[in-house]
Amino acid sequence: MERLAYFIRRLLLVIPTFIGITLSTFILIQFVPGGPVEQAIIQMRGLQNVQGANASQAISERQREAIKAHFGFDKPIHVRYWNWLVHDKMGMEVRSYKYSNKTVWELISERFPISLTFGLTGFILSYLVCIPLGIAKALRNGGVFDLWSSVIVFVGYAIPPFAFGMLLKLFFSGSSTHFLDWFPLGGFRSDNWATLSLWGKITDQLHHMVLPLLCYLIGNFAVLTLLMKNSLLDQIGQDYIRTVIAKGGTLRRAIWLHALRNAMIPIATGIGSIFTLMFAGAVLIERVFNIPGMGWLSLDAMVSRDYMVFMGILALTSLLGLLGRIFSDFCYALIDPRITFEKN
Amino acid sequence: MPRFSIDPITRRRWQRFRRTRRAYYSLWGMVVLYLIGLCANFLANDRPLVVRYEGNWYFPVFAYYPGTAFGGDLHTRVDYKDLAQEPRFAETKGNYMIFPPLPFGPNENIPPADIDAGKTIQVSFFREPQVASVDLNEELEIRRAQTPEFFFGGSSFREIRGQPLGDYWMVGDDFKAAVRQRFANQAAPAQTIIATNASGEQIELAFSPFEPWDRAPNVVRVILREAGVAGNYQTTSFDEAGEAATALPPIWNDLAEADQQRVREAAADRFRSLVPDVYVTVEGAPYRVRFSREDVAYPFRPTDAHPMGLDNAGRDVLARILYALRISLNFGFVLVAATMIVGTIIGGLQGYSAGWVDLVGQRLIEIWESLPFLYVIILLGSVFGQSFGLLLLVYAVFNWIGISYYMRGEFLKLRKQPFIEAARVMGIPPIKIMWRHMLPNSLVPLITFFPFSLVGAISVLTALDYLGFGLPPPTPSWGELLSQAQDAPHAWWLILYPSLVLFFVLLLTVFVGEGIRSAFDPRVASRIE
Repeated sequence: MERLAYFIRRLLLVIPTFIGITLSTFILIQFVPGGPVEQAIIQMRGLQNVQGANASQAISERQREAIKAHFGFDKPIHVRYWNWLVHDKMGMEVRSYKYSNKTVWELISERFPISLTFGLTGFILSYLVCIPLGIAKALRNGGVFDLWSSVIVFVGYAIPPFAFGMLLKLFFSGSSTHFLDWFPLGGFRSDNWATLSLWGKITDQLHHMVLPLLCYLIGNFAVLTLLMKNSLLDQIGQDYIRTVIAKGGTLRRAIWLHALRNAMIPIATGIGSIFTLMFAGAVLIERVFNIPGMGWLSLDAMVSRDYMVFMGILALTSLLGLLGRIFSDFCYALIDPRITFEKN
Repeated sequence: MPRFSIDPITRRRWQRFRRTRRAYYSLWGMVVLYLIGLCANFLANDRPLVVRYEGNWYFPVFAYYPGTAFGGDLHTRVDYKDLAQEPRFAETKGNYMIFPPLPFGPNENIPPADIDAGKTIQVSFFREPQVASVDLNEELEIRRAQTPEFFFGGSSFREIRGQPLGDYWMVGDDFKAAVRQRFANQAAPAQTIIATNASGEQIELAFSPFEPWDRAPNVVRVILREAGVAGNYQTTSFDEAGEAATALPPIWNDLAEADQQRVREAAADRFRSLVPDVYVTVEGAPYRVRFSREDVAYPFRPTDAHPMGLDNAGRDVLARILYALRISLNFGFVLVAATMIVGTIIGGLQGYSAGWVDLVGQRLIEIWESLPFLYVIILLGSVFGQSFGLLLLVYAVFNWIGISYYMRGEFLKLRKQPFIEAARVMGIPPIKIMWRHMLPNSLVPLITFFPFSLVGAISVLTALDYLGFGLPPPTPSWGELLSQAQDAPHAWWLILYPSLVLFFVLLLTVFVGEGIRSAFDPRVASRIE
């Protein structure tokens, strides 16, 4: 019961936090130069130039007001924020400034599945690789295998995923005649994807995903592997393992049935990060491999001052992040009944 | 014994660190790399280290000299490379310049004329497929044919006239269907079908697209093309004297004397103008000979003078990598220091007060953690312009969280220690307690955190530069070189060298960090937080 209250409190706390994040960004965006109003004015000036009008001729005050009203910039900031949050449903129903034939929601929902595909697959893949590796390292702690795999882990930790991606692209996608040409240069699918057979579709998709997924993997590789290894080692050193052995159980039984279960607890907390995985970290990887996902969209929106799209992505990302953290704690509490969230 | 003594715990830790060989050597590697970075000005520069002029010594790397100092008329900046060509230096004994080992600056644009490229003409021999065409009637009998000898066992058109195509090449139903479609006067797309003969050789049979006519055609034309010759080529190169600069390919000896002469002449002409492809025949097989000259286009491949090539503005990549080494390390240190100061203050205060301050702090951290750092820095960067100050501010504001957790934990532990309690009872002000008594006792997390924070900082810097939101151009940086490669994927030298250096620096840092961690915490080896 105490826990339920705690999680309800946590969920309620999401609201002010979310408002804090979006409001601060919103205010920042409203006051920066080069926004949609200025861009529209510049465009109008350009049109006037074409019509042979005097280039230095200023836009009249009335025109400026009209542009402001069109973008809703004529109202005070709190009204604008309220409109954005409630009336436009987090800005999702506003038209993008850059792609004026689409709403923000349409843009995001086109890209979201792409990022989700990569994020989710990468996430699952890293758990599938790192957990067995971590266990193996813990069981052979200090041995040759442990030492050598440690070197690989450190190498993985040292190289930033996007630089690794650039190298992979260089070596395996035939961008340069000196190296191999095994994989496509980038993108999510081939252009002729729709015309392929089912089997062709699957292989084409996988073919495009191999290199980016390796980058996703290397991003978590070191931290996850060592987390698994250390937490298992910690558990093996605990008294209850000695108890199992003292009562006649084998060491194998003690490790696989008792220690491993407890060692999984810290690993499980990482599940909350699955929500945010699809966004922030992926900006770079999507840029390297030209994957038209959320990260790419947000970068594009920032560069071209497409603020509504950017705000929409930011709102979604932060909301998912907040929920993800609560979800992590929830998993944590579910797995480990000893956890209390009492203030001590 | 020296006057100051290192306490035994620290000495033991240092010994433990030295025992971790990998970490110890990596530390030296880092020191060497950092020194190289600091000396970048003396290793790569477009200004000479030393100028001797009219009996005086000048040191342009350290000081600025106006043009008048070297007998020029203008007070402007000196272009030392032009100056070195002038008679005052080139022909007067006793006046000389000594340039650094790599005589190029990080922002110096090297003109195409100064690059030793295009000294040879590349000659490529492409094997062209044999081609013939036959016109078939509805029974697939050959009515007309052009150059059929290759495909019909050397028979001329007169010998194969009226025979079914199937006598020579086995054609499938798809071929027959394509022919039928045309005789039925239905529109049909272009189509290529593989056919084999009795001895298993393959050729391509090609139909051109067909639009219905007024009446059905009485013959259908099929193009026969030899299969499997694409991508089959041999190359060589010739210099201006008409001599082969590389080994001559096997095909050269099979060429007729006259053809060899034609190829040589065309190669010589290519130095002055474009030349059309030359067609030669070797043992009955047609070859197309292409002549290409390497023209200087940026980014340009590595040469002798520029071992790591040139970037897209004609700047020496090695020079830029060297300068970027210093910038990355320095900025990395500053970023980490800022992060640690902020993190220590906040974490320390939270740990020391441990009441509502702690609670509010945790809520703030929650808000903070959910703000995407990359987005904020990009947003601010595009608004306020990129500058190191901004980068430092945002980085410090966002990255103190990790270290603050540790400091908070340390301070929470220390609060309960008797000596701190005693200090508090004696009425020493909290600030002084924290600064004089608690901080020195909680430096371990700071020290063990440092290398890993440095890895993070350098990675973030590189990533931001790669996205174009890092340090303002034309600051040399590894990330900026990588971003150039995004638009020029063939320029492998823009990817390979910067990422290798970046990778090497980060790997050394990680090894040092691992050593420090195991020295301070002998219980658990190999832990990355």
